[in-house]
Amino acid sequence: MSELLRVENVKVHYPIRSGFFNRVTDYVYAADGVSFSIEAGKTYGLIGESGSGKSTIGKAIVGLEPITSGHIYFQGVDMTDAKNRAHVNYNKDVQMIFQDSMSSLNPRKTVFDIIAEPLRNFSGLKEDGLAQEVRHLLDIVGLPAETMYQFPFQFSGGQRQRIGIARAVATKPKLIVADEPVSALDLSVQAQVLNYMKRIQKDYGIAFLFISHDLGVVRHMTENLAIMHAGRLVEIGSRDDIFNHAQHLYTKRLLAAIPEIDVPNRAKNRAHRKAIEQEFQDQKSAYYDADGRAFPLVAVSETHQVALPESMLEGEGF
Amino acid sequence: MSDAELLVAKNVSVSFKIHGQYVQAIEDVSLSVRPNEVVALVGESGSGKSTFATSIIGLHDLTLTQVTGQILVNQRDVLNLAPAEWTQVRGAEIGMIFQDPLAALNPLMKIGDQIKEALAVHDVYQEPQYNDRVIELLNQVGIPFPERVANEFPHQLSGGMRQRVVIALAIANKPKLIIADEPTTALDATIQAQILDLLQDIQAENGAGIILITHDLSVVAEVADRVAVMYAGQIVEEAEVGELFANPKHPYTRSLLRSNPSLDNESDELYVIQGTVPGLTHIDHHRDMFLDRTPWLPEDVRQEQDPKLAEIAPGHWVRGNAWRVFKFADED
Repeated sequence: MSELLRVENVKVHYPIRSGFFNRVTDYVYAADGVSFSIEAGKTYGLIGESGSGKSTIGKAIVGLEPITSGHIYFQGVDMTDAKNRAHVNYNKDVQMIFQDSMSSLNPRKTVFDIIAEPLRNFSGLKEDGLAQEVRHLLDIVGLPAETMYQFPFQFSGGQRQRIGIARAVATKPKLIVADEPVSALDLSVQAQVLNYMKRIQKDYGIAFLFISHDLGVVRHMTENLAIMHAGRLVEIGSRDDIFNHAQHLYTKRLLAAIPEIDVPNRAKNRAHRKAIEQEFQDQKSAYYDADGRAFPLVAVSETHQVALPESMLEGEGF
Repeated sequence: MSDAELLVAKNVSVSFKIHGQYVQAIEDVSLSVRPNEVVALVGESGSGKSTFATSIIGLHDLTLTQVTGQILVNQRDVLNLAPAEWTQVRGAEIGMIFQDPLAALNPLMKIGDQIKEALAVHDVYQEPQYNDRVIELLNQVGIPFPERVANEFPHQLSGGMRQRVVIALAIANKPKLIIADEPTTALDATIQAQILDLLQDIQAENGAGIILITHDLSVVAEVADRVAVMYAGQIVEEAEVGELFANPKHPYTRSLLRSNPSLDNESDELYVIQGTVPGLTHIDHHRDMFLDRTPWLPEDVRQEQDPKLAEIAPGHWVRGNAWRVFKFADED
């Protein structure tokens, strides 16, 4: 097993300023001690509700968000030290796909320039080679080569998101962080974009960190999942661990809240959902410490970690 | 048609004036809603579901929009109401829940005052009752500490709480018909579940009929009683919710269900519907436009002229005849 990226106790705190002197009076704990690791070529899902800090973690990994404390190791080298970044080509090896394709593509640049920019920076290709490579990349995401000289506004949302994917793949990265890449898209378009992402992930052996609030999409896309709540991870595990053996009450609540296409059993599902919600409201204090933070993660099996105090762990043959 | 129906819309067509010419957005849409019934209107963006809802509540700008057909709300023809008459219908007979609660609330007005404003337009409640009604409403939509929240501004509330306030506004005068336009799209999964439960509770209490507009099939499966699927301005299939999910017939319904990732979680590839939703100016209302996206079907099937909705089983309506021969490209 080769570890590609390790996030170690990362904290991102935003200061809240107030008062006459505009002094720092408190902090928002967007990410509050998050640790996990990503292996080469594997897919990971980071799930949480809005405000849970999942996007903050994604941005911190790519380097768009300065971290308050903690470390991010890429192939064993500490990326929080700026000197190391250029040295190991981190900016080439880790790419990002954004949620809003309109604001993440420069409206004044053609598709060719958008996709060629990372290539110019990192590949050393000259004009002929560039054009050929861009054509190849467009082909990978199913866009005709003629679209190369069009501008972002001339495309539909799904097509723009595919341009974003082509740009992310251009530098042949080892890790792609995708932050809610399909949540702005319609169902039929979403399926298409997900298929391209999955195919590229497989063909090029790229590790994926898929950030989303949509459990259905994440279940489809990734083998490993991490559930985040209020800046902390509450559970990490394989697809099977999370969907069939969830232990943390918050995970159970999140799972119960997803509407299902199961008309005959919907009354039963609704009752189950309400029961879990009630249980969550009643027993919340047992699952979080005195400050309302989730407990540190404890391993319950080789793949499965839960943020529970020792006394509450259910035995799982470990 | 029974007398009890809250809404009867017959052959409603809506055209927008674009560059001096009228372009038809929805064509010949008929729908009825009974008390205690949740009717879901499903479709992708651009399918005309919100356009239809907007015409029921009379919010189209009539200088730029043509609405034809018949819309009866509680047996009253609302299509040709004067603006002053509309004020009496909106809120009292039809309540509307909007998608974006922040945009639907006045940022400069306290929550309690906004609800009182809605109460003052109609005479269901009288001035001395307003304060009690505000607290009662906030309680009903599950807002903790209603006395305090009534004195707060929208920005002080979370997204889920704001949506509850919008629902409180919509039901303030106890309308019998509620239109909910993507009420949970902007919300997280757990909040969505709470809001959907709340809608069902309110319906049970008031005996209201709800039109639920959404693009999310799993939301439909959870709360709807009847479902109408829209594509390119037409209803292509309508059925009881159990029947629709167990026995989808129209190619579009079947394709949508097949491309839903929460249903097939193990297979590698999701089903992709070829092509894109046609733009307004490219819609030929004499054909089933979805069949342009199933090019493997024989030409004569795809070109069927003026396909009509037909009842193929009790309560199950499907447009045209293509469904009889439809197979996915990878089926034999």
